[in-house]
Amino acid sequence: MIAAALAVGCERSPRGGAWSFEHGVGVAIVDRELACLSIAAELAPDSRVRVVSTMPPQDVFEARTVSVEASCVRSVDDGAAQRGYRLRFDSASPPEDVPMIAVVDPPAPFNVRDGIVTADLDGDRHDELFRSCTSSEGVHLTIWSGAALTGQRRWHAYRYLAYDVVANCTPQETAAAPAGRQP
Amino acid sequence: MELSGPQWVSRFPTSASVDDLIEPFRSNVARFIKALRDAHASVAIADTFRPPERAYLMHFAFVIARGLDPQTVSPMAGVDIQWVHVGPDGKPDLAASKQAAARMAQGYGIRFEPALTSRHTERNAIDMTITWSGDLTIARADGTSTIINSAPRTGDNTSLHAVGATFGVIKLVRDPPHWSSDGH
Repeated sequence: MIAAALAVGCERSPRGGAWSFEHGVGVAIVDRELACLSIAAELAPDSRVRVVSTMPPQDVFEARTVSVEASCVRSVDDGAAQRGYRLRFDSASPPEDVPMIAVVDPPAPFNVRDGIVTADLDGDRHDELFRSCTSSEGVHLTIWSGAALTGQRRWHAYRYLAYDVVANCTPQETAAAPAGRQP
Repeated sequence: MELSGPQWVSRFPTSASVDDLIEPFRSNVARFIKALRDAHASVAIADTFRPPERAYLMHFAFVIARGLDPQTVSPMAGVDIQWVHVGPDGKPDLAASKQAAARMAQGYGIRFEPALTSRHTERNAIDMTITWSGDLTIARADGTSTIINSAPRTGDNTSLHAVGATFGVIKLVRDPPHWSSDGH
């Protein structure tokens, strides 16, 4: 667990190119048996991952990829475009059964202040913020630049829960991405 | 009455069978899925009917584990659960009650507040993953065909939503797997 600021050096993406939300961000979830990452990118073993728990108070957990794990991809969430990896957490483990935002080889340090995680992932001097909300039976995970909900949405993912929940999402958090744009 | 605890988790299981839906939605869904499969789309059903008893157990296990006084929970017909555990002195043991509820919540794998009612508990909803490759030539409910050549080639496709609506199977866009009798 990271209580204060966590300095992470700038790195190239695991694909060898510039870091991007599309290939640098995925979804992590931990249950009693397995810690999983699903993401579009093909990752090397031992890739560094920062897992953001958006349950209040927000926090960041350090992990690494261990191996390819096909069961970490669920067709109900991801279709065929994602890859699954088993994760190993370096120290403290995050809460179980909570979909979380996973940033691979993050290009910027993460900060945790007053229960809010921020990081300038795209290097534009505007912090990204991390959110989650529930729709009728799933969790929407989002990353925003500048300000949550009113800033630019940079990334979005949905995780099906398979039970009905009390919904608290805003339309901005659940809207589909325009064709050809980053979700 | 049986005390609350993780043994309740396996009871009142969720169904993935179209047969457990209610008419006319059941027939509407069956016809829509047949049209999809006739068009060579892949359809994987996750959930259909979620018993109200299961929703009741999940909801109150969650809220008791987070502090609701179990003595305030109304009983539900057909669910003979005793939420209030009693100590050796015969008085309510709220700590034990909370702990038992927490073990139930853990068994269900729930971290978000479950809803008590939904179209699933009414047998009027289905969660399914739909995919295809290439163009999808699919029949509407009236038998006329349409060709869907737009992306995505999944249940998120808005043209497919229009086809589903002709069958009375309505998409809830914010939850990708979810279709229901009225879009809720």
